[in-house]
Amino acid sequence: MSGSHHDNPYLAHHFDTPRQQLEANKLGIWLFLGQEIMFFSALFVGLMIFRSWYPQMYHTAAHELSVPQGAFNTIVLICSSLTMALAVRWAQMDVPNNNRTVFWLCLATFALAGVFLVVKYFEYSHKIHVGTLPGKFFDPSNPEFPAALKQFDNAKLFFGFYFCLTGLHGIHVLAGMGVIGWIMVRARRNEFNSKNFAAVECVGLYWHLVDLVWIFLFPLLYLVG
Amino acid sequence: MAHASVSADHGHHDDEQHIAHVTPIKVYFAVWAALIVGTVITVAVSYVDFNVILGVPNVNLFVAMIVAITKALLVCAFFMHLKYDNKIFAVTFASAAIFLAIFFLLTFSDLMTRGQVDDKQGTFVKDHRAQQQVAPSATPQRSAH
Amino acid sequence: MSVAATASGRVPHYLEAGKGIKSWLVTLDHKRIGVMYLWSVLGAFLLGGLAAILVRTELWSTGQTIMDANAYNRMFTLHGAAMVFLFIIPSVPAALGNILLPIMLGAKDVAFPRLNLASYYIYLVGALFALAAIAFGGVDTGWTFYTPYSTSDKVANTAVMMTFAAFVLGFSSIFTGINFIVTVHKLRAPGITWFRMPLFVWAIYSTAILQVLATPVLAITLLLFMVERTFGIGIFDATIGGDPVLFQHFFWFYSHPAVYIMILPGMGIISELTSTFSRRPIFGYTAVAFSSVALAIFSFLVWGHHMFVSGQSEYASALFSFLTFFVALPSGVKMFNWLGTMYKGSISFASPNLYAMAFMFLFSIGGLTGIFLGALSTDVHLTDSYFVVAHFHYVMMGGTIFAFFGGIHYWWPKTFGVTYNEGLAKIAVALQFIGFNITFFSQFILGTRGMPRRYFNYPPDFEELHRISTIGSYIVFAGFLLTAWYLIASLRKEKNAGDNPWHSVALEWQTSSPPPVENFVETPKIKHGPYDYDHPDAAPLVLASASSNRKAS
Ligand SMILES: [Cu+2]
Repeated sequence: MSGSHHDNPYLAHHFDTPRQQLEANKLGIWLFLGQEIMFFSALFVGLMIFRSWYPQMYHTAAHELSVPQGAFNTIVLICSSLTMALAVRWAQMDVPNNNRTVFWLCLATFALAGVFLVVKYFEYSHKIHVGTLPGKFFDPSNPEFPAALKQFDNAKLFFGFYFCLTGLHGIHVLAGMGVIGWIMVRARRNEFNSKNFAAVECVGLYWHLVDLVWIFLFPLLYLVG
Repeated sequence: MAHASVSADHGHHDDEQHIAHVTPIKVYFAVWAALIVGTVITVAVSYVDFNVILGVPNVNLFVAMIVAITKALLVCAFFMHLKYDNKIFAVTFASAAIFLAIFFLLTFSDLMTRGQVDDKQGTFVKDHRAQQQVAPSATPQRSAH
Repeated sequence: MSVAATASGRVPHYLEAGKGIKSWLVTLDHKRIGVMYLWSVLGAFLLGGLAAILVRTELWSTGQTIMDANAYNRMFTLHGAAMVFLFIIPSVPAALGNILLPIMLGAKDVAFPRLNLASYYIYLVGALFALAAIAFGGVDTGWTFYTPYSTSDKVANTAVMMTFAAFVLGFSSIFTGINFIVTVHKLRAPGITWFRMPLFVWAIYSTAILQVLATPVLAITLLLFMVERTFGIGIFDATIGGDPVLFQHFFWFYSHPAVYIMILPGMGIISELTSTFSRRPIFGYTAVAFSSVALAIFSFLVWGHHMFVSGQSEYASALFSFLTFFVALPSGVKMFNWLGTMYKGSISFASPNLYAMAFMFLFSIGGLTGIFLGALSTDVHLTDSYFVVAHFHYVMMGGTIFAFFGGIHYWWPKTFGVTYNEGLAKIAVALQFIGFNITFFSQFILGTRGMPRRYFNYPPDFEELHRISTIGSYIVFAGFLLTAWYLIASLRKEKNAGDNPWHSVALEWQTSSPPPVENFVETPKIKHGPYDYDHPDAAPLVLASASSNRKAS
């Protein structure tokens, strides 16, 4: 087709205008985020059901989680959301060295995601140490097993949910680090400007969703026992 | 426009070629600060057991969810640009939240009302709910790590 | 146009735009991806159909006929899983939807062509896992994988492989849904307003909402099932305080909407066929369009009607039963509007319309018996009987599969540029329609007399009805073999169909058949809706450029 829009190197053949292409990409990623909410939904529903059925068990088991570590990780993810949002902002601007800024902001986001996973590693290794694990790894005979939990033989349900929810969330953090790394590579190649930033914005939206899930996970697992 | 644009040539929302909407930097930092404050509040409040003080169940859950929803709305509106963007994105995301609420409500309509008409319908293999009467460790005792 | 014209001056169509297997495997053209889906789902239909024939043959007599009870359990699970996950769910949206949706919108492609190809390969990977699970011994849980049986030691570990297959297939469906929603929102050609979209597009759009918002719940449910089975986390295990019925809640939160993922696109096809072959504008266009959206939304509110005898609380059962009746409203709106469209129309008895009329007859029976089953007190007696089996086959097979084959026949000239043997097609429809009713009406009777579903054996009194049902299934199978034969034979013929063999005014017929790579030689300017047979501009003529191309060949 001889339309003038083919002069724009960022415009795919089946779109007519840059706005149409950008909004299509963003609608696509928003639908993906909608399906992510539904993907996590069953775990949240199950968690809240067993909280209502067994409040005392939930209360006791939740207090085995470390609030300082969880709160620290919450702050880490909020900071990473800020750096990601700023990366999107710079990707949208035609200012000198904007790709360099995008790179460093993405690197900061990547590093904060790494900090989150390191803290998670310490939380997991403590639970492995004392035997508060899901399913068949749940081990009340462990000498360091929390005494308060010994009376609840259904406490493994709580830790089943804890590991499923935080594990699934952790996989999303890892995937986020992967796509942020891809943005860093492209920023190094100076690819982003006010006409071509959809990739950064979509990765940013995904990363904010990872933060959103944690905003609900943290109080439900750590605080409201 | 309330949200002043930074790049000089920007400001035409409907222009099909200029597509970037740049949010002022101070908005991002204000939202970040509000999120930190929200986190501090929700942690601080969790050390007070409103359920015992007020004698009403789930007050702490309610407070924590109010804070979490506020934080989530801030992230959606500003970090995720829903405030400025095409409303279809907000509708998409909200519809997922609505179906999540339906999922909660209708599932709870079963699991919270079993055995109320015919007690055999509420039979448990072993009623773990009985355990909650045993050994109430009344006040929140957080184990230190 | 990015495609160079051939020597004769004709714009090459998408089938000639590249030769060789590689040009298919890496294609980003929605029509080619749709054609690959079409052959894949028809392969799955054959697999599921053969399993059905073996199940019916085993039930020819009491006791063992051709296989033992264990093989029988695996066989009906194979039939259910292949038909639901590999065939019906992707059938209309992924095959016909991919081929037609962008053309109906005047778009050059779907919004994300790479994602579209990726969904096809994800589908293939899922299908391979399903075949592997069958090869490693199969699964005997039924396609619903109910706990606690499915998490017990009695079930082989191939159950994990089979659920993983369904998990993967789910993501294929999600990505297709995302693609279609964005395409409908953002890629409509100038002049195609929301209320000038064909009703098939409205149906696919409503289906896509379900695919995006319901399928992830299946994914997490099956993931939890795999984790439960592997690590014993206890969420579905009553002995440590979990709840096996919770699995049913999670499963049906997806699988009831999935029923509408299966039937809604079929209803969309019927709207197209009824208008074209009655030569009348669709009656109550807006009502039919919104009834698709309403069905999609209502379908999220009724899943508990599958659980009336599961131990679900009486309050929840009453609530779900009440909500279920609302589904009848939009279904009724559709049915009456189709009849209103046909009323005083000049009705053609071409084979696609025979499928459409068969659909209306069979879906009425399927839908109305669904009301029996949604009623709490009746359902308690009919649950898990052959009445249920007959009901959902009248909806899924009499509904979706008849609509799908109606659509295949209708758009066959569009897709491949050839016509099939109409006489044989009429015979095939007759065989399928008669055989279908013999097979499944006898199962309504068996069900009310107390024959439970999924049973290997039965009392001698039931043998007569079982034999009638089995004979019917052979007639249906013969009908589909006949269809396969004349459709495949037609592909070897010269492309003789012409651009618009049905003289439709809908947009997809206003380009050449088969269409060029980007669907239209020029972006079409739409001045009327797809059913405006009485509109002055709507003479069923092909766009000037396309028809001159056609003549030049
Ligand atoms: Cu249902």
